[in-house]
Amino acid sequence: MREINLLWMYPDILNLHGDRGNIMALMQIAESLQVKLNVTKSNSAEGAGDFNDFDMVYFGAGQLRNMQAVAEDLKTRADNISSFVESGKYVLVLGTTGCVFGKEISFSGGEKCQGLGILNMNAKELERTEMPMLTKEVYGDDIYCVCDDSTEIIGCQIQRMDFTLEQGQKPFAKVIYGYGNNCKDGTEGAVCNNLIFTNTMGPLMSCNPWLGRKIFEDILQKKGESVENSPVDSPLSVSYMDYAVESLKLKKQFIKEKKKLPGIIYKEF
Amino acid sequence: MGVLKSIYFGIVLIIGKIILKLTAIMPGVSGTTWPGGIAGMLKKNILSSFKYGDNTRVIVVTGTGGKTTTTGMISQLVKSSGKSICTNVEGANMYRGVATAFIGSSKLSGRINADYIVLEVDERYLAMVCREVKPQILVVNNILKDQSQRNGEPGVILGKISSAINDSMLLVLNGDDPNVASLGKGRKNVRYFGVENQKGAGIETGVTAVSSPCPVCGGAIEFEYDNLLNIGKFKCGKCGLMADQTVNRVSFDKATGILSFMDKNYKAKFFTTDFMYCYSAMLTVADAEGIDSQSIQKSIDAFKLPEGRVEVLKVGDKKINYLRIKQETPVTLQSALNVVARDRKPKIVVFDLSEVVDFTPNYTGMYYAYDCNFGDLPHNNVQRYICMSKVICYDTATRLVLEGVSKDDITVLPTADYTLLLNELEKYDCKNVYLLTWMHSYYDCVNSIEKYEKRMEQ
Repeated sequence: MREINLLWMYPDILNLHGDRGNIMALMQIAESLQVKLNVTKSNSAEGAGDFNDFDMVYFGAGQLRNMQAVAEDLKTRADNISSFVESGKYVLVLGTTGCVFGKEISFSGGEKCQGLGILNMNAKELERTEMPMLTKEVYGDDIYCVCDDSTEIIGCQIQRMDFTLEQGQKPFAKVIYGYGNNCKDGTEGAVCNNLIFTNTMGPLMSCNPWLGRKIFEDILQKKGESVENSPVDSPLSVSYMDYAVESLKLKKQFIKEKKKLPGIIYKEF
Repeated sequence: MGVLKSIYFGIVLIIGKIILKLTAIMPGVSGTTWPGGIAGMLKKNILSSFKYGDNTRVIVVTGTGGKTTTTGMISQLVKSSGKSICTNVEGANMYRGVATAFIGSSKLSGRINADYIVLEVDERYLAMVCREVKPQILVVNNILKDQSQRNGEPGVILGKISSAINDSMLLVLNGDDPNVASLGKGRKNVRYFGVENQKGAGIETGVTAVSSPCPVCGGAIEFEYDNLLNIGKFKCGKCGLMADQTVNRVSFDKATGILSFMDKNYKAKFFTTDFMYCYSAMLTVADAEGIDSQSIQKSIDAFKLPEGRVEVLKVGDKKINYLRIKQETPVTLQSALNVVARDRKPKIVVFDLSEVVDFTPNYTGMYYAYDCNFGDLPHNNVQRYICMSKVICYDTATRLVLEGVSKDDITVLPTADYTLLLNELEKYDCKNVYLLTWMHSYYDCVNSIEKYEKRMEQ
């Protein structure tokens, strides 16, 4: 049976918003492709072994207070991770954890630390009072964005940091509704080769199985495996694909009916 | 307090008491928060203006889940030991709720004549309330994922609780919760409580099982056993948090209903894991206050569960067991799932997780369901799963599929209309129904049942 090797980094530390649901979803997506998904878990860079032994590495969303420790730990294997990204293998990074892959991380107390610098972006802790929301009482909202290849991404966002993409840094998607990286420039997440950082939760892969299917198909093709020639959002492609497609429709309608709040990106669709 | 300030406080107090009387006869106005809210606007730091005796003991209870139950148990403990008490009403746990309780319990002089003041306080208002009421005991039951849209992450709440603590308080802390236990690090005046291995409740194995980060060093917490969503006997393998601490734990014999704590036995009334933690907190307070075991047993017998958490609704020949959850708070969904899991009889399980409408903007977050352990639900005689809600019904259904439930066993109802649910239920012979949803949907269900019954009678 064909296999995909997935490394799940810091499963016990970066699991803030049901992040393990992404692994559950990826297991189901792999099954639909008749792929054996081998999941290896590691709570430290040292314990992960050689990143190049894997096809994909997953980092869930974590608490702000854990970011510095994660960044310091990952830096002990910075070269290994950089070469993994340069080789075109997949890295999926969610939520606040994205700051670890950027350059400078600034906390509200004035402390600063450096990320891995793979993504040309900076991260700054968000003060609730700076939130553009009407009530300034919330960190969270829905997010709906579209990638360059028209892939639609739907989910939620609990924003604890603002991300600013520097010159040349490509975003993961453009925000149609929601907050995205900073609620100003309309960018959402960032990509570098096949490293994908997104603020979208839901979990991402349970709400957007078409993205997971596309990633796994690409991994298989690069390994010389054949892939069924069916559309990735076909109901037959993943067991819960029809649920996800219906959910996308309902959520888009829900977003259309929302009040237009000052500061929230809201493009007609 | 200066004379003018005293007179002004007296006037504000009278206004508060008048509002309290008025709210009792005004429909739709909350008598548990309005009086304190308005009085608090007229007099800043109003709680500090109330007076109570030097011997009055002040106990404050906070945490994500179990605040109301723990406060209720401690209040009953106080009453059963023959002492007088001032306490706030369930749910009125913000500053204005505490102020309302004080307005209601005080004389016109602002004096509260009670042996004990027992307060349930929301974590976000804890520092403000503690600064003014100066509790001798602070009980923290748990600090878990809760209302992410508002709170962001548990670390934010941990920081707020931490800022309320001072050395004069006795801290009664859940030693099985890493976040709570970390509050006692480096402090002397601490008692830790916990619960022995509840064998089977909330334990999860397999590749998707996860632990939690250490709040002190960021390392991974190692659980010897996990009673309920990362609450159980633990230590941090990296910094050693709780490796050498003494934790007094309740042990419970399900066969006899006897719970044991510090070499004494009591007959329990509620048997679930979350209740065991509330019992453990209450018994630790009882021990600290020197309350005898006879009074403790009397209080356990007399304690009544607050209304609206678990209700049974009858519709035709069907029994709908309503289990209340709080959205974005996984532990409440987990507790409900555990109740369903204990019923081995054939059943229909209805999930209405609903969109989150607590704040503007409303949103569709239901990721918290992925923090929960659905355990053996797919193999536990569930005849039908019904996932309803206007928007997130399909996401709920996906959660079940990812837990191994067959799509053939799931009905998705993209509606918040409970009449449609009742019509759907008519299709099945199974009379045992569980409804897992939040408070407002429960009231929608009650209203729909009334209309349904009237329609049936015609």
